[in-house]
Amino acid sequence: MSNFYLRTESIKQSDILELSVLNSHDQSILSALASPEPCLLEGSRGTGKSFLMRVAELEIEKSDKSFLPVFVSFNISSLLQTDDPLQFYHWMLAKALKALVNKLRKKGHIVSGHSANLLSNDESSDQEKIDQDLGKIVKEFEDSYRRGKDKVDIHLLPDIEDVKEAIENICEENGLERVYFFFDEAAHVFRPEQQRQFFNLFKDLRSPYITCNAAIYPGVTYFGESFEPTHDCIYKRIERGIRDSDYLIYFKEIVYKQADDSLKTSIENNLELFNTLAFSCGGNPRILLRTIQEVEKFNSKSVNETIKNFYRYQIWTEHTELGEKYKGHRSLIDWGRDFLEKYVIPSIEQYNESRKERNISESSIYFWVHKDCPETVKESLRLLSYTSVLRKIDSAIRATRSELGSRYEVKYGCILALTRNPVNDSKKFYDSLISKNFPEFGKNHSAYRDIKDIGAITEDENAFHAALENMLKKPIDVLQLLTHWQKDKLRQVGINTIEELHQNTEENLIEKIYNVGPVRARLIKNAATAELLEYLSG
Amino acid sequence: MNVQDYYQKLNESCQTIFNSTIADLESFGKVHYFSTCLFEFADKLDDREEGNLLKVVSSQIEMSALSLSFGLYRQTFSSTRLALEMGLGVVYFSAFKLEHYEWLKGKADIKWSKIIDKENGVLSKRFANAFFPELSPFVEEYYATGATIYRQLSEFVHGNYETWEASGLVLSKNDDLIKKYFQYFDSVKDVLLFSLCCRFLKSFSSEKLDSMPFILEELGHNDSIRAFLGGPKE
Repeated sequence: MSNFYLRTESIKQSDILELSVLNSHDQSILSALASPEPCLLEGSRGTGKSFLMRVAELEIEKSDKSFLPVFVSFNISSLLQTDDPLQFYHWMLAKALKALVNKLRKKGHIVSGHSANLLSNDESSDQEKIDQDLGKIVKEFEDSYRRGKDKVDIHLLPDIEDVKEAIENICEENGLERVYFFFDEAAHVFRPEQQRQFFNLFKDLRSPYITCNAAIYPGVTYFGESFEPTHDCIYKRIERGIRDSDYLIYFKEIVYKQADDSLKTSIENNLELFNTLAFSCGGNPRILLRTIQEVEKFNSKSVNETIKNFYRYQIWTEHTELGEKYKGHRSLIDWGRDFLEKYVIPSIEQYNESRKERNISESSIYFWVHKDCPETVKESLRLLSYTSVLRKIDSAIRATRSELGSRYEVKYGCILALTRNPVNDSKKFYDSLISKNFPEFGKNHSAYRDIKDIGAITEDENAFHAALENMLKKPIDVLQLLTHWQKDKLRQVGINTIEELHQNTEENLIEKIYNVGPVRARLIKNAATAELLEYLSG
Repeated sequence: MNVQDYYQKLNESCQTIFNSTIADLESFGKVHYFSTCLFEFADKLDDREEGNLLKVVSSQIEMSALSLSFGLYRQTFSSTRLALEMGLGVVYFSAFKLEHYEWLKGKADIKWSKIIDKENGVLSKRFANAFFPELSPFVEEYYATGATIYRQLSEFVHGNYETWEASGLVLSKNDDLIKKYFQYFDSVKDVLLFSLCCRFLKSFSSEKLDSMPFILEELGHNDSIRAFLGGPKE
């Protein structure tokens, strides 16, 4: 099979536009990215966020020479490891400014002080001023995080206003109207404090000369106090619904951009096989390209094998491997997989089977979870969305007894792969898909028992407590999710700190506090859990 | 018209060509940027002599753009070839120190045939296997580019008949040659950066690597280089 580019980073800049396939939804994202308003682009792994940002970068560059797009990727394993939020903020700022300086040099707007420089030193000094000014700022930030917070007088560092002023000067001196920053892999999905710092920077960089755009994962939810995604930016999601009318044409074009002639001929001769693979990927181009690459021969046998192997095993293995990397989250990751494999998918299968038996032409890949389920369950589902096993379709959907909750889509391939002959079954299954009926998981489903209490999901209770010591000592006043009334009630029964709240089960709370039933007990516990969850992987 | 007037006229012609050619800020920016990248790379080399030689390469790249801006096309291509030869020479000398010292003493020349030798040169599998084995599958492609571009640049240096026809005897702006230069430059840049990375990247500290963001920018599409620099893996 053809060898495909599976990551945008593997594609040369000069080849990006040639490989791009854009539907109307993509075009609307590109317009948002090119607008002066900041934009956040949300999407699971492999959905094409980086690619679209690269396309936007190139199109902006082409459209107007007075716009300067600057691409900054934080997807580096040398991501600064620090507990000091300010250091991380400075690290990001230094990275962004370095990328800006680089781009200004590349576009010929400034001349670097680091050059062989055919001019004599006297003549070159003025020319290099901008480079030196920005270079100095970058160096001061770099020194601050390299030396550590104790050795740096934070007041001596340039502040964000200095940075913005420097950028404005550069723009004015070079006839530039606007600098567009594109932050890729912006907010680290497992480090909430870093997410907050990123969004602080994102907001702080707002200026008539600067637009910030960023790609983030569905699991990124900690926006910090000063940033509100609905007010402070255009929020776009990459949605490639398998029921979109142009879905197959769109994905075929993506594959054809990279496929050799023999693969194209095979696809044309076996369109149903291609359609099955395309639906299976659930709107994820990287997964489609990967599975096509893994198909040995473009026939039913081989496609069936690939679908079964990838969606029954590989996709889950990759999800589980995340737990190896982020050990604090391991239990949540493993539980999420168990929940899907042992409860959700069998329920969906049963749902589909029962309709088949009753000759009802309905099938589902959807399920619903109550909005008041434990916080740990929501976190597990977020992690499954990050690896793109799930897609959150909507929230605040009414289910049985008018209860509210969120609706999720399990990747089509994960459900289809369970049949004996996915290729044969796909068309009928797809044609009968409906999203309005689905298995439901209430707020107290028995499957939640194992991770209901965050204390139970940590492998090393001592280490967890050591890491959380400061957090646990804090008064319950810091819990923003609680109302004054709830805090007063907790204090009345002697629960003053997060630790004390953490030690009480929902049942305890119901028993101890008058007027607190299961619903309020869950809300109160969720507030404490949400606060503690973010320290899991540190 | 005395000889001073004559050269004054030539200077005016050069200025006219300069003003028109330099308007392409972006293309000149690209060339100058690369010359500064080489300079920064040179600063990272532990061996001072290797660093100094690479700084000469950086200045030759700048010189090639300067010559282009004045319409001195033959000199443009000549400087570009010199940059390619000396740049790969740095890589070659870094592995063959005896020859490097002989060259420093003026007792030997930089020999292109040795540099580009398919079995033992800087773009050979042997070389890549020694310094950055993951890049070994790519050397063939860069070898081909390097050999081709050297030959094309040499046509201007050796004065092949067609090149006289192309560059002419009279000072005047030549858009075809300008276009050709920027094309050739791209190849030279790719080959030089690849071979420098192949030879030195693994010997740099993480702090050094962190201070060279241009490598990820220019060669990040190579999965092995990207992964080595901490970027996402395949």
